[in-house]
Amino acid sequence: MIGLKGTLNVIDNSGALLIECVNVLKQKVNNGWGSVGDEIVCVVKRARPISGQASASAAKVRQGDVRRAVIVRTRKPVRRPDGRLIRFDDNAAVLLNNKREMLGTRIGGVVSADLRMKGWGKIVSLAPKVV
Amino acid sequence: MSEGQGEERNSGSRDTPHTFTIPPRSVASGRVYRVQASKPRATRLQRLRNSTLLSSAQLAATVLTTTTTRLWLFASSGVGSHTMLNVFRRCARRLMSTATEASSSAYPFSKVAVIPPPPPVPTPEPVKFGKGLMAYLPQRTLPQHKLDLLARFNKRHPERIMPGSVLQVTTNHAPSSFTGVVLSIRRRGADTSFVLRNVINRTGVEVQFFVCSPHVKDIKVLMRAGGKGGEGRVGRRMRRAKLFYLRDSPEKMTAISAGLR
Repeated sequence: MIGLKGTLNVIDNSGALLIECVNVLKQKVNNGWGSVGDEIVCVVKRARPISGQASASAAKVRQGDVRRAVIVRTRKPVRRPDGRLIRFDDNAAVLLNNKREMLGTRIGGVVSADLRMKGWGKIVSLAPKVV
Repeated sequence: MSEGQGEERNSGSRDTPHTFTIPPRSVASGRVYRVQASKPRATRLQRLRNSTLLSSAQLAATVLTTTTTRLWLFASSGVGSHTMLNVFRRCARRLMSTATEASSSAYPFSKVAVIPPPPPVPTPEPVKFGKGLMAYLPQRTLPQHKLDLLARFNKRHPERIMPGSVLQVTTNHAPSSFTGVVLSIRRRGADTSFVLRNVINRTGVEVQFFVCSPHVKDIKVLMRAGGKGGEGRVGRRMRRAKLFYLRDSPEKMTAISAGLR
């Protein structure tokens, strides 16, 4: 249940470390709670220091940037169709651009398998472990 | 009025002054009809009781509606609760009084003939013992392998699964297997479930599996927490039923996983 002011860890290599949710982009609702697979608008609170000129990945975000992200792990249990409940120890997200494409190129960490059901197959295929 | 009729009338004088029975020779079928002559006008309750075959619940409902209308009238007139209580007392007394005649069905083709009521049938004994429905439903609906699985979560089973054991659950679809420490067992008959905790890529993951779900294919015990016999290695017996403290102590989790290897 990620809402306004909820913080999430970033698990891709886009450069951000911690983001804060500003808005949950759900159809038909302007506010509300975001769960695994929901897109959010966020502010980058902490980012990796950008090293000078030549950087491996083109898109490096700075602190204070307003970006979009998709939630991949939540502390709140999420129900699967067969009745299982999956709960992670932290909230995590992956940064996106306005066209729903990933900003980073790699994902480091577990992601929830509910992403596949919500249409984020690319993220699921990049993740090292899906639960 | 001849004397003969007068004598017959006098013979029936032992009955209540307002009723007398028809003499036997005038009855063709052998039934005794009591003829009510010059009966005083029955009260409203008595008329309700005698006119139709009302059940006691319907009777109570009609009485309550009359009392509520009366109460409303009383309340609107501003009289205190003492009068309402008297109204209730009177109605209760009338309902429970046995002084009036027993309920008897009226003969539809004559106003004065009355059919005596049938003899009372004793009510059957209520079933006061035995298990309810929920105890039998799982036994009747679940397949046998699910019932065997459920039995292993019983508290009395010799090879029961205890919190602190390490289980591996295989499911029918992706992700096909999940291994973890049993944190808690929630025993609710067919709704029994347990929570497994594991640390994957430095992130703790907890999954709650429902034992009777058709997606759960198999549960394998990798390490049991104490206990006499059973599959898997022997681990430490946990002194708690719910091991939620493991969420805050990663060192204890590593200790359990080290015992497994």
